[in-house]
Amino acid sequence: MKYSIEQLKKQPYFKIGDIIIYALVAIITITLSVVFLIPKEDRALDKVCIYYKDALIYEYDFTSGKGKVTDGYQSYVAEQTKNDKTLVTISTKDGENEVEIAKAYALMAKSDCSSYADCVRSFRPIRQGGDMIICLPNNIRIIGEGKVLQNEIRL
Amino acid sequence: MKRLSVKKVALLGVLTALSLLMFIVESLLSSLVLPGAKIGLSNIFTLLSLFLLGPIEAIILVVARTVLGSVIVGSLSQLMFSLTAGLVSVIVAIIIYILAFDKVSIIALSVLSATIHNIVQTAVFCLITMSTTYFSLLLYLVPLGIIAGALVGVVTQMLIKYIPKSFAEKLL
Repeated sequence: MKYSIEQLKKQPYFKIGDIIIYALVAIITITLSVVFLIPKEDRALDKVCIYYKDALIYEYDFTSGKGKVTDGYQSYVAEQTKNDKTLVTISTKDGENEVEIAKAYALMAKSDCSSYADCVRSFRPIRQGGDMIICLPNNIRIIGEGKVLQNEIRL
Repeated sequence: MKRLSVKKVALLGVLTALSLLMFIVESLLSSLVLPGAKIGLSNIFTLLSLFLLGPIEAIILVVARTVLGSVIVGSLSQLMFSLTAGLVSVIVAIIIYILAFDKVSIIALSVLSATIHNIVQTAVFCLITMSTTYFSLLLYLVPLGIIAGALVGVVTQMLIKYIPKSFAEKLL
């Protein structure tokens, strides 16, 4: 099954079967909007948890403004405060990551996972419960936790 | 073997190199706009190799591009989702090309392929990370994918249309 150059050159921009394909794509888009737009809930950001290979290694509480390293992981985590910002450096045998936590957000500031560092460049900062940043190569996962805000407007 | 003539291998090599170049340039620019969103200009060459060379060559191009691309700009874990998504979407394109190309245009084929690419990639990402949070990214990834797919389709069709016939015949 092969088309010659002449046949390919004569291809129109629209053929009758396109309708089916465009309809299918439209159905997918509409379904997604219905699924993801309606049950939209706002959540507060109470805590940020950092996991290494499914083990909780560090926890930051926004109400008290204090961080806590899980017992047994002190050698992995270094914490320092710099002008209202808390910098958490995580060094494991998989690599080194630096997480920046400030008043209402947390983000991955540095990572040595790859030259591209998806976790630093692609993920948006955590601003509410349920947000997360994942660094797959270094097995680090940062998750925001918080209660669902009902009938409240999040500013 | 008639399939693997020197000309074909050379052309496939050139297409793969161009595709890889697009892939690298794009991944350096993409995250400035939206996380995870790319136009997928490298797929212009995937489609060209499908039309000019054949289905098997298109699969070879996708595998080579994603493996080399991940080694150069990404990480090995990125390979897991770009390879699965790339393969699934190219296979969908091939199935349509073989079964229904007389009824479906290049642009529609590209749009469907891009949509499936986005869905598979997000699904694999959610499977790896065991979380459904990022599934909601599809809400904007799919519409953007449709636009990007259409763009790739139009460019591919234009390229095929304006390659001089004498040149194309010498190539193949």
